Amino acid sequence: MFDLNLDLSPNISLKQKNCRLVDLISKVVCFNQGKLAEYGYLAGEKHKALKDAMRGTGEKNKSDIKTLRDELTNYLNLELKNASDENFKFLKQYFEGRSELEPRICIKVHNEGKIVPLFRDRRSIDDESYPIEANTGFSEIANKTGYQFLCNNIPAAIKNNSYVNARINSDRVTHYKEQNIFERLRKVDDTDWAKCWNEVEGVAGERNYPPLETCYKSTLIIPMTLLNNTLSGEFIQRFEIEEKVSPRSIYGFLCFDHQEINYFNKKPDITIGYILADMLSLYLINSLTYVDYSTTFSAVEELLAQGSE
Amino acid sequence: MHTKKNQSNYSGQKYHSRDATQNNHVVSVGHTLIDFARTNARAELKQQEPKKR
Repeated sequence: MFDLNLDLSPNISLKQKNCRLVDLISKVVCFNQGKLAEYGYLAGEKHKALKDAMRGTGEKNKSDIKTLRDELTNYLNLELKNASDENFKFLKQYFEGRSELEPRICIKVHNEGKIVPLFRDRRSIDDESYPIEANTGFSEIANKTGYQFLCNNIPAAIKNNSYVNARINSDRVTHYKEQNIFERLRKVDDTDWAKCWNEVEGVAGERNYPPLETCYKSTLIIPMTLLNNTLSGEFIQRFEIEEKVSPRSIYGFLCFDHQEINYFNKKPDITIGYILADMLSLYLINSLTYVDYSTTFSAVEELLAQGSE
Repeated sequence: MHTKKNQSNYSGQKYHSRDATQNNHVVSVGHTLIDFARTNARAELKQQEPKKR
């Protein structure tokens, strides 16, 4: 039986927790099995229609091709977002009862040297893109370990120079005094911590301290990876993976954060995080297959760009 | 047969850029998905503006 700790309630026995966890994993697999079968098939059909329209040497109907291109990309993007939203709900079920406050969950990807936010469970500020090196979590995974990154006390980590985040002003953190146990138990708003973060633009363009929920103290980042040593040569060539250089490919990052310290439970949270990250990576890989790695899509973009030059 | 590497003037080549990472191949996702996500994020934030007021 799984030795994972679902923090649903202190009164629930370990057996009940295990049952609820297995039930949740079953729901996750069932949902994604159906959704992925549908996603792959329908995207394949839409891509085939686009390929058929591009066949032949005669003059192409750009309007029709643009319509088919948009149908393909709209479907891929929208369904990827829908699948992310559904999987975020599963993850919230997993974390239910651990705190009065839910963790924030998002998917981020890499684009031209920067970490770019894709989808969030909820949004309260305008997410910016930062270089990989601007956040220790992403730089550790991308440039060093390839594995998850967990920090359960960001204020302390910044003070001992083991964590950097472009959104946090390290100088302000040196003067920050951590809340005592009583303040934490009484759930006193830690506005001093919010003041350590870079100001954000308000509705009327004014500069404010960011909302408290965006000023996290615990973070967990799970890479969406494929281990290359178990993949066939044909697949590796198709996806332009240089397996001799890279033992794994990272397609994106499943990110969690929470405004309390010590929020994450290392072993179970990483395990469940990887299950969901592996599921979500399959949607991303499907999307890349029909867009970024598609020679048909490349030819379509080239054709449509000719008309707009 | 995958022939994309032979195309020289397509801007989409930037889609496949790799970071000079020591161990890991970090895939660079193309603008189609990124643009969609940005538009979606702006719409979500705009929806929340009246609530903030």
